[in-house]
Amino acid sequence: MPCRSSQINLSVTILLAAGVMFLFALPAFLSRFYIYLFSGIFIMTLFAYGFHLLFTYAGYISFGHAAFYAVGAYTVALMYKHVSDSVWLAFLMALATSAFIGAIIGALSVRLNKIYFAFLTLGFGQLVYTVIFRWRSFTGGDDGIPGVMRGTLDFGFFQLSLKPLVNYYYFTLVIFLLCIFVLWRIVNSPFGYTLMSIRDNQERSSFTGVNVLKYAWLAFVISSMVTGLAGALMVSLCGMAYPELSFWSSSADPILATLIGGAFTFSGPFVGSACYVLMKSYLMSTIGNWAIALGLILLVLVLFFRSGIMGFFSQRFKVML
Amino acid sequence: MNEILRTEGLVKSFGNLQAVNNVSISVSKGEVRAIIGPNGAGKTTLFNLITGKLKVDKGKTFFKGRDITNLPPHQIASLNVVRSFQIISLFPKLTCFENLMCVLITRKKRNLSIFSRAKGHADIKAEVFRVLEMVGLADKASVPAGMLAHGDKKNLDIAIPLACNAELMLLDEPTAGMSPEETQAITSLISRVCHQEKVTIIFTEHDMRVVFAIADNLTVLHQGKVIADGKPEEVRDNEKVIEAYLGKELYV
Repeated sequence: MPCRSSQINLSVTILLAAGVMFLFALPAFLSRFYIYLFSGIFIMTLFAYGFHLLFTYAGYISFGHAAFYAVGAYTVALMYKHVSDSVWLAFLMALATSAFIGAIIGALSVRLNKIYFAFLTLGFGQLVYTVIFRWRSFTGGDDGIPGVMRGTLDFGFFQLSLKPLVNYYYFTLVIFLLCIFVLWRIVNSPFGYTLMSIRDNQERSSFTGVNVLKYAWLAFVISSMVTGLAGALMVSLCGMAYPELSFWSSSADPILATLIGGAFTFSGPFVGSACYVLMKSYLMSTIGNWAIALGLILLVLVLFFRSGIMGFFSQRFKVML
Repeated sequence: MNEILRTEGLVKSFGNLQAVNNVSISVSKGEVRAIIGPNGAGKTTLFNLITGKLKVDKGKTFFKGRDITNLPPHQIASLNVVRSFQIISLFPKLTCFENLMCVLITRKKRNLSIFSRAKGHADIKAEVFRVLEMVGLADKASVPAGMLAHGDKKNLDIAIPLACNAELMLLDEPTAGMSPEETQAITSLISRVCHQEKVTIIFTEHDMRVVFAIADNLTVLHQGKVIADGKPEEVRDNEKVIEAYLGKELYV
């Protein structure tokens, strides 16, 4: 069926191009509130993709990704506060610190798998939370770091302030699209398939010559960097770094978003995060105690759409989305 | 000497049980060696010691003269000593093609290629289809391994060490749980493989028809010890072997 699959490829490409154009055009006809909300969706999506790389492709379920989210956020907040307003510098530093912390926590965690890995990451996540909460002189303790600015993009020949929300929206969108492109390449690369062989059967994989710990560790580091980037984008959007970013309940956000969207699809985290953020925002403004509604939605999901929204469509149309 | 694998006095015990007790074997290049013995004789433990799944208590293993004792499994595998497991062990969510593609990525040391398209590596693709062809799975290339029929799963299971370019293949009960027809098919696949690909094969087996059909030499294990070693005809008439399998005759 080469004809059919090329038709599908063509329609997917057209759909994607239309979707990207739509996202670029959004600020023209949406209010500030929705521009803010959509930036939030992109950030939640990146957070979810960080978790998704490790979970869906390498088979490790992390309950501590909030740690890297907070590390990215605090790095940017501290860089703007103490060093300079350069966006490049702040974001490079955020990537470096989340990679560094990820490398340490990853090296200690990937030795175990399944529930033991989950608990170990949960423990390390709480450790990071405690450090942030207690180290008042550096992190501001439970006050956090208020008034985080949005920095200035320096292109050499001209400088772009990210202070206006629309500028920041476009900055977030570009980083979001770049990251998704890079991740798409990674999961379809020989490295991606090495991870999938580890996910499917760790023992067999190592008996064909794969150094499982090394590749799982690398996946962990990449995953923490993507998550750190999400935190870095978030802190400038909402203008504040606070310890709850690293609390274990914050680690549940990317897990829920990924499961709602469909863990075993590539587009799942995006669709899931969009639903999750929109739902949360709508329900919070209407019924207040939105956790009740979230619980009901999860119940429906587990009972009827176990493979998530995009998993459901993938099975329906027999294409990998 | 044409020796490819030698073990010297391998010992492994679990608590009070001596699972492998002073086992020394020597396998020459191109040989098909069957390791037989009653249940619990230590066959699988011996495989686990050779391939690095378990650490040895005492003794050494040499592959082509190189000491490989207690190396981690992935290092032993990358020396082209590749095993299969008693229970079929595949990458179930990946297709047949992808199963072997993963193996070839590792064999060609491209695991760190992080930005190229895995399915765009033409040499890997060609090699995957060559191996799929050999085991008769070419028409099922895009079927997920977990959805294959039992016999096809077993074929793919044996295709994995083949795709690894194994020089020494250790097959742990390749015909376990198979129908007579499937057993026949696997047997002829194994003998075809060792002649075409010049692979040395060590396998454990309970089905004596398979053993006598393809093995050049037999090693018999009983309670962790080698009790006989040699050509199939010699071993068949060995008294100790008969005793191990049938027990001592009490009423003569």
